[in-house]
Amino acid sequence: MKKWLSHLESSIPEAARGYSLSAYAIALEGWRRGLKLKFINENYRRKSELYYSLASDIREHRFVVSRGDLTTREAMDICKNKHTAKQYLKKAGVPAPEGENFTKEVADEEIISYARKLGYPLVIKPNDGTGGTGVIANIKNEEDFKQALSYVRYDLGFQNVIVEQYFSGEDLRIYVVGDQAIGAFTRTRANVIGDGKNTIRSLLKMKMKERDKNPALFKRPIKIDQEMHTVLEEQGYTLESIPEKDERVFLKAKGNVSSGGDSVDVTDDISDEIKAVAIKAVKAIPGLENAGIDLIADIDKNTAVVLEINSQASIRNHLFPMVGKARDIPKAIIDYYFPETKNTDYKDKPLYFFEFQDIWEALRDGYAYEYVVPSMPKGDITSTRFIVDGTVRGVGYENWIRIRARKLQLNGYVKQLKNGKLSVVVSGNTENIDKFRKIINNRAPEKAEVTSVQERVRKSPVKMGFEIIKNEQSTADKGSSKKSTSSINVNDTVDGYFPVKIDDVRKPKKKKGNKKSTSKSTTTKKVQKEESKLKRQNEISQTEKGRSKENNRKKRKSILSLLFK
Amino acid sequence: MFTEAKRAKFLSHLDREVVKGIRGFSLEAYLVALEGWRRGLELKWYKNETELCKLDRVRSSTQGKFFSLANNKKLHYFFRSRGDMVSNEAVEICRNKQLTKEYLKKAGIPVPEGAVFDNINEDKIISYTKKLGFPVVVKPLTGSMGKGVYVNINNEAELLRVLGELNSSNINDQLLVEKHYPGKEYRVYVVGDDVAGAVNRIPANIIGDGVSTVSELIEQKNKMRKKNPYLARKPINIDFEVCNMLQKVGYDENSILKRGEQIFLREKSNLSSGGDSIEATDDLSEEVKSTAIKALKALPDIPHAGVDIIVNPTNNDDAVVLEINATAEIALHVYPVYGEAKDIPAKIIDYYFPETTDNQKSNAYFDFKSVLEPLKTWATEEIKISKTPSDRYYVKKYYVTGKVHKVGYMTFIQRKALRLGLFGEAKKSGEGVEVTVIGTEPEILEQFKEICYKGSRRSKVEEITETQTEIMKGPFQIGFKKIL
Repeated sequence: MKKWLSHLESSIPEAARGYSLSAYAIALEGWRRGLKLKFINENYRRKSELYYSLASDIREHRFVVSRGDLTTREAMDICKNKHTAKQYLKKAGVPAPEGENFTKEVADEEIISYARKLGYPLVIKPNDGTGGTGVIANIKNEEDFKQALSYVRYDLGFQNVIVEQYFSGEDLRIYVVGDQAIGAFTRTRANVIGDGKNTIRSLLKMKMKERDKNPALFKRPIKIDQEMHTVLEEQGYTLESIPEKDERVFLKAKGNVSSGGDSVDVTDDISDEIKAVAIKAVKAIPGLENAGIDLIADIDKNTAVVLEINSQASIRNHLFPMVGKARDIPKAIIDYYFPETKNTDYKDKPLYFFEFQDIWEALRDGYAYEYVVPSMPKGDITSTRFIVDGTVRGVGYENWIRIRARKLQLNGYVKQLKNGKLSVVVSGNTENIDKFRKIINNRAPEKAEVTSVQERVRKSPVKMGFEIIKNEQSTADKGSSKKSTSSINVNDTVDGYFPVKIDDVRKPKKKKGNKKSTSKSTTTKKVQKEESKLKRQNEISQTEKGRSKENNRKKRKSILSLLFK
Repeated sequence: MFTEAKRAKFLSHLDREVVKGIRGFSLEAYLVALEGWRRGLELKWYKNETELCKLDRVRSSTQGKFFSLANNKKLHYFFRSRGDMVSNEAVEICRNKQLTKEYLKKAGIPVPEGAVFDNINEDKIISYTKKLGFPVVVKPLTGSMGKGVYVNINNEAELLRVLGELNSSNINDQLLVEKHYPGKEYRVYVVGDDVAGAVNRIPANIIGDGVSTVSELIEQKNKMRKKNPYLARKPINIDFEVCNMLQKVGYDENSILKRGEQIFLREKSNLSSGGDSIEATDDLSEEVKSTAIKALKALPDIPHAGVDIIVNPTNNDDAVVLEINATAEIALHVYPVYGEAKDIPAKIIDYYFPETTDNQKSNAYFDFKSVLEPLKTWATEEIKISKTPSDRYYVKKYYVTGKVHKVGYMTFIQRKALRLGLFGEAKKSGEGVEVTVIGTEPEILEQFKEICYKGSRRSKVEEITETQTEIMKGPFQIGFKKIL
């Protein structure tokens, strides 16, 4: 089903999951090749958007997410403004939807008449929005268009809008570095695949467990909500139904990865012609070296139109797709920026990674301006593992081990196993490993009583530093998970770059029939909710700000419900 | 003997809060680093010595002790309180007490007469001692922190007992036998041509109040020591020596001392075993001060260090130099038990960066414990501390209630504050959040109310109460913390 990169799979610490993964993976690739890595505090950026720099003896480059400093300021500005970007594309002969940009001075009527001229179906989107916010696609008639326009301009407050042709087809993200398309993926809606035995509810549980293992995703459940009930009902199921083996059951109407969708790698499935469109798009923007291109592809006709160019694209879905093969974007980027390191192959040696929580905390709390990650052990290096049995707990053995390991400059950890034994992992200079082997086999602190020491193979990557782990957890997952969840909150914004199509959202309500009862029950529920909200409002004296915010929210909701009817 | 009035007076910019939780040798480094940083120098901490600079690290760990300070003209590395203007050669010489003495003697500085013995040869030592004359001192040649040092040995029997103990205590070192000089012992800290501070150390002791027992008095004393950043981890432990000393004067743990009665609990005056430090710079005569300054000049390239001297009780101008500590502790001068603190860190930075002497000093400090963490776990190679805040600072507090817990509110506030260049904290407090913002422009602190209202996407603010904007007095920490 899926195939991840073995050198990355267990090298992602908890704190680097999710949005931060792109930066971490690229930084890690450079660092593993022996480049000097440091993180820089400028403007107190979000965790996922921290500046980092990689340096060899001859050059230094600064990065943010996946964008390096070879991407010029001009190129960034062009990409940010969707309309300008499109003009550059057109000039270079790259297919892009026909459309027009309207500034806030332009009256609604003028835009509506333009829409009529261009012809439906159409898309409305903010000119400078990021992510999928405010993108309304597949608008089929003027009535819908008017509502969508008012929603984007006045409810969301994006006064500058783009109106363009809507294309249907396969929604693709292609990552281009230089003149190569390194990876391509598409997404499916949240779904489960039946095994003929389990209910949808338990399949969902299994799915969530699988998603938890994916470092590209936050550990967040796929919410069981009204949307899910409706979507299931449409397919004739409830959460307790047992789908047949290999049957795919969709759970959500929307396709974003954050609402449970799967990323599917399609790099090997799409044609060179379509890839060429993406490469040409990057070439069309002066000063752009690597970027993620959003396209709509018509697979039958073997053509594609470019919707958007992301100069600071996330690469996490390429690295950890839920279906298909992972694509090594970090390798391509570092090859491009540091060609002199192209032939550094670190993969046949023991692998290392570094903790990200410390870095984030030092920068987040504002006391550090620069944070340099220590370089990996060089030369002849070995990783190994010992299982120590005996009276070794609560007798200072772990600390004693740590001191020995530190003295020999070894990385690794000592971990308590459930069976009462200790697992000791050390990695570093082979000579020092030999010394450590002698020590662990022959010596122990006074109070400890070692009955046996067995040596085992250690293949997976080792985190830099040496720590004492109290309970059973995998090292990559280790780290202050408690701390990290609190720091994630702020990033809890809209996921992805794919436009949310009105079509996607609308689907479940399109079909009528036995659906009436549910919608009724939802409305009554909503009314109850509103009532209790009002009650609460009366009880609490609210600030003016809070109230207007609440009003805005309500207004937005009502507009949305209008749109979806 | 000492009244409350003589109790220690710390420097206001280095109060307890600034060094809270920072102890041991890290404190030494922190004091110097902080002084430099407060003057606007660029401060970097290193995991290890760098390729550019290898300071003799006296077989100690370097994390939190190795740093550099720089301006656009020059850069200096430091290990604890010792900077790179002290040569490694001088450090090496100071480690060997006899060699140090030879250098001093050559420069005409009075040192105690003595000899070195390769092993514990009782006959040889006794015959030498007879020639030298009692009382004598026996100490390991390269030891430090008073380990294995025996002073005031008055006769052959006592000497034999000491040698016996040394024999069984496994000290694998050459022995130094010296003439014992009666008189007050001082640790003099010299920087360049000045005595920056001098401390007289006296053995662990207690003073009676007419009510408390000996063990209660020791407990009280330890409580007091805990409040002293330098002595916090150096309590008086009731051990064999203490009981022995009590017995000598006819007391035990439960005896009640008369009001004002002082008894000593140890022979040695080491602060680490419970001794008191008394700031005594003014006790020293100019002549003695000059002896200490000359002592440093007798060695190659050591512009600042701690000099141990004993002053002749019958002649105030006469002193012998016992040894020189190239990596001397400075915290004992900054946090004495009695007397007024001396700002040794300022003197050191004045010496290395004379151009910063008149710089306006910031009152800010940084969270050293957080810096230490990744250095200690080897998670970082090098941390550059954020720029020193300058100018006058103001402070304002907001108390925010509503839906502000577990909705990303504090994180939101933290990022917004830092982006506006503000310091302070967001602290969970009851049902609400207490936001403290510190900044240079009062208007921005006032406007921050808007941000407190707005809050994170999932928060809902109901009410905000605020304090007046005030001028920030006293030290404050840089960065913005979330306190749960």
